[in-house]
Amino acid sequence: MQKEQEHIFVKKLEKHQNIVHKICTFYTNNPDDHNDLFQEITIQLWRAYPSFRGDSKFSTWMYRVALNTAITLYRKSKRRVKAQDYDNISFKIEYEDYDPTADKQVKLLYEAVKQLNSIDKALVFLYLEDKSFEEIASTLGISNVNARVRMSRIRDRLKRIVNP
Amino acid sequence: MNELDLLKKHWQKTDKNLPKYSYEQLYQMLHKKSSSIVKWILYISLIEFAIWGALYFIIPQESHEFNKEMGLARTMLIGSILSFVIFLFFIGLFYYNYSRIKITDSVKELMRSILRTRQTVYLFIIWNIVSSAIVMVLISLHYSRNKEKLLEFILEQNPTLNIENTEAVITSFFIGFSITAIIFIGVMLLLYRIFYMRLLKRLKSNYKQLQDMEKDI
Repeated sequence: MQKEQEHIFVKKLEKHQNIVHKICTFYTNNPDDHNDLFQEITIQLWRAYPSFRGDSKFSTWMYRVALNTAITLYRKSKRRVKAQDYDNISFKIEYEDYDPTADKQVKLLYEAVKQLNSIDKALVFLYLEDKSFEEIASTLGISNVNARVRMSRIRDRLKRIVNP
Repeated sequence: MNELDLLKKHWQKTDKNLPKYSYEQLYQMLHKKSSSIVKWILYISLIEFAIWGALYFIIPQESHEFNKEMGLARTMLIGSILSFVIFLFFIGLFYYNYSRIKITDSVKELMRSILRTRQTVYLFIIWNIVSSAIVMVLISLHYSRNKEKLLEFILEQNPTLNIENTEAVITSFFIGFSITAIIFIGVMLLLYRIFYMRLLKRLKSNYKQLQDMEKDI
């Protein structure tokens, strides 16, 4: 029974692993930390799996558990982002239409986002994942109004950084 | 296009460059150990309990004899049992905190659980430091009330000491005792700072974010 549950869980995780990888990319700055966080999220997902009742989509449930782990239980402490870390992020992104000005802006934005606190980072992450405010609020367990207020502040902050 | 939408446009291209783990790799990950902060707090407290337990049995026989001579053997035994029981109670609380953390809770609920963990650890540290300090003070008070017995024991153990100057012998003993007590408590504080406080610092920054979030509502 346990083996069967493990098999079903790993199959689901294999299918949706991109979500976890994206969270790891967002919350860490180098491949070692990325792998560590992926490992921790996998353990926490498995630990919480009995509570997954299937009334929401597996991917939705996964966002919540994975983000909660990245926000609160991850042991590695936050460290300052170094210059090479931005290159680390940008190497993961393939530019189809390379535009040096936009590239510079994107680097600045990643730099700014990396410095947000872990909850604001989660909000930005879900926004980038094209989630609605309703979904963002329900995933993070905050009110819709709160999500909107915080997002508007983040937007202002990012604007000031890119256009000082 | 605003800044976040520019970022979103680039972000959505990350998919194809992400690493991919195989079924086997993912399966192996399930059976590895978690390194979550709360679990580490529980582990460290268990290790600390084992060390205190071992220290109690490692203490040289002379020390037990000394306590016996000073009429403290029974009190020390009861005190040790009591402190071990309280220690076990705290370990139980750490386990309770750990098991109550549901990673599927909302961020706010999760952080409340984390706040509870922090409070328990603080209480545990304060209890250990304050109770150790109180025990040291009580022991020294007991010694000062039983100076004759104390002197007798010291002279018995160190026959070469000058018995003419008993005041100096007693004063040196108390100075030595106080320095040892201060070093002992200092080392305890240092170890707590290294092991527990580093983990608590990370939890504290999370809690501050929770407070900010409440202000926004």
